[in-house]
Amino acid sequence: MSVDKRVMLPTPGRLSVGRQLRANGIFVAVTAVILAGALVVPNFGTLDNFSAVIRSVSFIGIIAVGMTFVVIAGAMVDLSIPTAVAGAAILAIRLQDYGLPVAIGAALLIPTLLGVVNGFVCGVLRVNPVVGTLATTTVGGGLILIGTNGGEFSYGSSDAFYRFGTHYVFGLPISVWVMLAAFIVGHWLLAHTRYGAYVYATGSNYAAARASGVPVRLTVFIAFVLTSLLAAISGILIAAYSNLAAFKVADGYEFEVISAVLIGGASLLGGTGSMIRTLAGVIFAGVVTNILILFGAPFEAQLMVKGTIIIVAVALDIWLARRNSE
Amino acid sequence: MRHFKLRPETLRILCILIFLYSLQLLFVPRFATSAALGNVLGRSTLEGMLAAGATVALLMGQIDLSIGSTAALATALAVGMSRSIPEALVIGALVGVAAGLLNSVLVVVVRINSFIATLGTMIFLRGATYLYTGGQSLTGELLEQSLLMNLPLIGPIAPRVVIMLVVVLTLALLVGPTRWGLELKAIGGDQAAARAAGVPIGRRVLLGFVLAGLAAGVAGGVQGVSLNGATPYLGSSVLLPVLTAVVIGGTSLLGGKGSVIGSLLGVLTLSTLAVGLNLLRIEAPVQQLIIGSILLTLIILERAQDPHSGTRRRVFQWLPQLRRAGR
Repeated sequence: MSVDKRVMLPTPGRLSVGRQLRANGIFVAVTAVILAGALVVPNFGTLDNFSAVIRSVSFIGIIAVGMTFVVIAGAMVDLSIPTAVAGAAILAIRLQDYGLPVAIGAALLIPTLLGVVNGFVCGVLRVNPVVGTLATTTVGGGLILIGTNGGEFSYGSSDAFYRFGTHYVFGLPISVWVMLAAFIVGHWLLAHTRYGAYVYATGSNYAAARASGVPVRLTVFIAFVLTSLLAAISGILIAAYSNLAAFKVADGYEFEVISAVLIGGASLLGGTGSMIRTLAGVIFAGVVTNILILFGAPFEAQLMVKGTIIIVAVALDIWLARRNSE
Repeated sequence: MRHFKLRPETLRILCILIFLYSLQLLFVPRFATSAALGNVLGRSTLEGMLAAGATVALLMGQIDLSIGSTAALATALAVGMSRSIPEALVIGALVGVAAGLLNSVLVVVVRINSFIATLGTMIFLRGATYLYTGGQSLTGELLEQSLLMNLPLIGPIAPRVVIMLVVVLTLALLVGPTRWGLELKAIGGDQAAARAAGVPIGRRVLLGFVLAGLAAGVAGGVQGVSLNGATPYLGSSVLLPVLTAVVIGGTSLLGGKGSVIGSLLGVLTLSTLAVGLNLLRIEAPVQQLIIGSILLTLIILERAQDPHSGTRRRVFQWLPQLRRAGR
């Protein structure tokens, strides 16, 4: 119950090609795009580009850890991510006059409260998460706009904060280390703890999980709180890296994150998916975006390619699943 | 004829609309004018048609996130290519049908969850719109037509409002009292039961998505002619007001229950509120806060009233405890 069926397949020797592909297709795809990028795209293989890619990937990846819990628990999506990220970034920048601990504490706590509301509305009251989180993100966004005078930019005054955000540890940006830590803790929670087992059980069959004593409402509640907490961490890192905060800093992040999780092969119906596959999905989406940018593809073409990738990835997954079951 | 009976939820939103409108007539300065009514109706044209389409998708237990992008693409193509009102409407309708077919193929044939499928087409169509407009605003050659579309015909009712009403009422009649509409709701209510009862689910869902796309496309066409211009980001923030309107109009997000007329009344209610708040000079962020809070309150109340969710029992168990704690 606690492990993804696609990773723990029976007797490895007897796997058909279709099954292998379905279980590990995302890893093949990631390797393929990286190889293709390195061979065909100029400037792809440079250290600067590598650093840029993993940094942009890390902001999305941190949030994707939380979203993986939400999706596997069958709660579909959290659309309030941009508000949580922007709220954290704005608080972290604007409250610096009161000292960094206050700024970072508020930036962690207040967006997490948004997750508590999400968890209550969508987990405890069982409102459809698309509409529930759309409503909370609107309320939160309205509050931010009122608080920032209609979304004014603000710049950081703390040197220590900016230095932290642009810091490299062992050659990698700090946000990448945070992302890796988030994935490791997330993987441990999902695959090795009782909570992870509850998440899979809730997502695969809500009624059955409930009947067998799984605290289904609490499980979904925690998933939403985790997502907002991670979005807040991502927001703080973005603010520290750019040393400014704006209302639109994370516009579209909700779709980037959900695309990465779905490309990784988690099902929106809940019950399947894993942290490692989400990480692969995040890297895949980041590398594809990077290649498009290096080729000078305009923003509109990037959108079309992203939309197509989501559909193709999910269609492929469904097609392989159907072929395997026959 | 018994199918024509108003649902209690529709009656509820009608009462809310009348109450809100009367309240604003009494207390909001300059609201009691024909121009204000025209403004309310004008604001409702795009969202009214989009909400009608969204309702059709929700009735069959699906969701269509791509309506805003469909409308944006239809607007851009109508502005860029058409030279007359009928042309613009036909272009809009064609874009809408194409988007609806794309969605329904993904949902019915490939069997992708409608949330992901329409999320993908939403992003894709938005990209196509940016591609066509080059990321900039377009101005068309429809100046006379746009004046005509906004000209008050009967009282403050402009032709674009008439088109909206025709589209919405047609959809309402199609999904209301017809056998087809009942089958659609049966699919939304309990898909397995509908299949067992012999409802051709694939074909019905396909037609439902095409109708939703058609409504969005025509909405885009009308918008294009009325403004004689298009922006690539038109309709990108339309999802919230549309879903709010649909929910306060009494359509269930779980599928199977709801009405297109209720959604139209929901849109009119939100427009009335927006016009009133504008006249009171309340800023956009506060308006956003108010509308978001209304949606949040309503969805929580909806769950609290649902006897199956167990929430009602829970809330009523809490109440005495809270009262005791209060003393």
